[in-house]
Amino acid sequence: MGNIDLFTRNKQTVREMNTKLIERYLGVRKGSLRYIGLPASTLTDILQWKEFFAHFSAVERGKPGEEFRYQHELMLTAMRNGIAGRLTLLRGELDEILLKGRDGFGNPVLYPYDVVSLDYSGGLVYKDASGNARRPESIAKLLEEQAAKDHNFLLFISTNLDNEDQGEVRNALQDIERELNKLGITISPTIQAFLSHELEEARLKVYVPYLIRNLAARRYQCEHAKAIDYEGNRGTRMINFSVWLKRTKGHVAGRPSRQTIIHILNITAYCCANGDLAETDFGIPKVVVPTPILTVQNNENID
Amino acid sequence: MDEMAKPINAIPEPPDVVIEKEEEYAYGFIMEVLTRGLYPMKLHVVREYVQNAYDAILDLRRQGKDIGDSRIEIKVAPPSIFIFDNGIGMDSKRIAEYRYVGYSRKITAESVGFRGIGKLSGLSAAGKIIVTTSQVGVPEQYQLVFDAEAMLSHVETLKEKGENIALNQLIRTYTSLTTCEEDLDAHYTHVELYQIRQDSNELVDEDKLMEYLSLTAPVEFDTNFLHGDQIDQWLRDYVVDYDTVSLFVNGKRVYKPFLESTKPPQNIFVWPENETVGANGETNPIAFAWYCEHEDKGQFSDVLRRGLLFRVKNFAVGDNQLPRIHLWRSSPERAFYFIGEIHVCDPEVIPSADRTNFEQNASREQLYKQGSIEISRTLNRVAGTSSDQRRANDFVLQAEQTVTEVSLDVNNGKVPSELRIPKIVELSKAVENVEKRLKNAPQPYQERGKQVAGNAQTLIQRLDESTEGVKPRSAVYDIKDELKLDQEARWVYETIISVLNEVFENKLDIYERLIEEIHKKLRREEEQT
Repeated sequence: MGNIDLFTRNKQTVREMNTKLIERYLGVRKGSLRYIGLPASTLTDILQWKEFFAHFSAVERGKPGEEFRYQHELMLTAMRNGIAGRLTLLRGELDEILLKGRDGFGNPVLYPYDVVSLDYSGGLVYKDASGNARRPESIAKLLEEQAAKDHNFLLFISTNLDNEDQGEVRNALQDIERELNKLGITISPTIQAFLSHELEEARLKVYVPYLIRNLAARRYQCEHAKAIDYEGNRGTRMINFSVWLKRTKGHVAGRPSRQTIIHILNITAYCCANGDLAETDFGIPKVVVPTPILTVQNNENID
Repeated sequence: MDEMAKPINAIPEPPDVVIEKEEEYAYGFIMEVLTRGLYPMKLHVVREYVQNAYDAILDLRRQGKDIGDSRIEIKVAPPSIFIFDNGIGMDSKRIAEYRYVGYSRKITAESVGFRGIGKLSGLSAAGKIIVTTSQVGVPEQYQLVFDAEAMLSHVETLKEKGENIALNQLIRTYTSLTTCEEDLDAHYTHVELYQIRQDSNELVDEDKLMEYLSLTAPVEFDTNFLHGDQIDQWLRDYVVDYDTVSLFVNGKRVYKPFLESTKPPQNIFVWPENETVGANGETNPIAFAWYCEHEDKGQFSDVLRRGLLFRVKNFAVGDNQLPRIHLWRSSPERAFYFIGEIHVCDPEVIPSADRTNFEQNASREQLYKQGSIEISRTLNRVAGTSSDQRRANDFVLQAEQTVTEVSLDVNNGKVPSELRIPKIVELSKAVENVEKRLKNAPQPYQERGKQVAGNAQTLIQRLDESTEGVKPRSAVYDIKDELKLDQEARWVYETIISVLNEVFENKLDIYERLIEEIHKKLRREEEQT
């Protein structure tokens, strides 16, 4: 029970931080927003945010062999709380559903959404049996569909640290190093500090926003909030990422900003313990950027 | 819930239910008959669960625990349909009994369902039935799962081999019952028909479902129906077991339908033969009906919503053909000149299992007999009166138009002598029609009719007095005199006119037009020469 309580408190803090972002970016459209995510059968996120939304697409895959039970419970929670009329239940794996645009029973993903909340147990870089990184692919598909509707949105990603990393994170950090070296920015000490850090969350703090930035390139401008590192259920370490994806005319045909990468490297994170937030930089030195480069963009800090 | 769930198949049987252990009296095939056989129209399956949901809400109301938010919600989410109510819910005993076929504790006078079969109707349409419930005051939640697909497939396999399985064994094998903690105050029943079969796809068609439930379920009148409040008040005053419930399909409120262009509502009590008010002043009608007549001529065009519907406890029985077939002995087409409902008050009139009619008994026969006398005769009379009024109105209007047209020509001396007699005949016919129709028409029509007949008589008199070209202010003119035609021309003209008169004797409008055109032409010729 202790674990559950701790998880509940930390998760609640994360939810409150997410709520602030919804208020900030989408508050003017309160009551008419559209959500897709994995709210679990308790629908805690959705119930907390129900005043904001006119539509919820809830993805629930259920327990293998007994898929219907969690799905049934999810709908019961929605019924009891009077939001079933606003809810579409999508049954199955989130990645598959996003990639195919519908669930296994033909229920379509009803784009566009204002808030997308993805919850990845097993990590974001998880690969399936055939070695395909379905999660990044499905996020790319999501971005494509959202962009087709020319829609700005908030993306929340919660992932645990149980990543079956086969070098993706290291490769990403090395890519960043190369990219910035070309611009004359020396970041090797920073990259080395990330690579040798004892905590996986320090590397993920960079990797996930960098992945989103690349997937969103040419479609969206990313504004990253501080990640929140917290202890989840049964002692699992979790990180929650939030990014505001903004369509801009200039950005549609442009290239992703290098300044975003520097911001991603330098932005601090929150550590959430017992529901309380503490800021941390994981003891990693900040990248110092020559002044002319800083003029590229300066609007990416949304913490 | 799953982590906390534990099986409660060991819940003791209720003490008054005796299951014979040595001999079995019912076998698996009965499941097929009770499910597939009873529900050829799949939408009836949903009605069964809505009935149970409504009964649960009525139970809650009887206990004074409805705080005004009771509702039934239906959610279509392929491959499932969910039916939720926040009625009283079921305790461990009731949920265990849910598995009993043909067993119900419901009292017919209080509940819509009572046979203990409808709860299993989902077996005919879905792969699984999942029922989750919690009763108010019981801090537990129960979940019952019927594996319908496996159950019926087992029965099919045995049938092919000529083998049997006892019903008890079949149900025990294919159902599971679990429980977990729940809030003490929680009260609901949530039914999911999971994996709806292809032949039952209309269950996941939102539009069809809404239409069906609007015609069937005990929902409130549409707020746009001007007379809804008045009718609702009558029903609450005169029908003891009338009540309504808020029902939603995919978040959309379902209302009883209504049709536009209706006259204000009227009501009819159907009494037992030779009885209206009891010896002690009590009144026990067989039924109470309300109706609204079509404001326009004839039947309503909406074939689903026109006519009357029988209702028991505000749930529909049969469709709009049932009263038409059983109550209307003559002019059955007139049933559809109305919309309305017949709420059956006699508890001995019992809906059949499929609710397409009533069980055949003396009470049903009395309902049909007295209903025929009170309802269809009244409505036929009302329709007849309206028809007479409409016809009278039509004739008055027609006469008024004729009088207006003729009087204009008469006052200006513009009636050709050739048309003097035909105009007199036309006016006389109009007067005759009006006088004939006005006998049964209401006072306002009679006044207007008298007025127009009087005006027509005056015109007839003026035309009658007008001889060809004699008086200076005659209503009639003679073209021959006007153009000063010589003898030969007069002879030719009169010959032509007499031929035209014969040919177009029954086509006054053409004859009139020809005369006008000939006169115009002659006048133009005269001017040119």
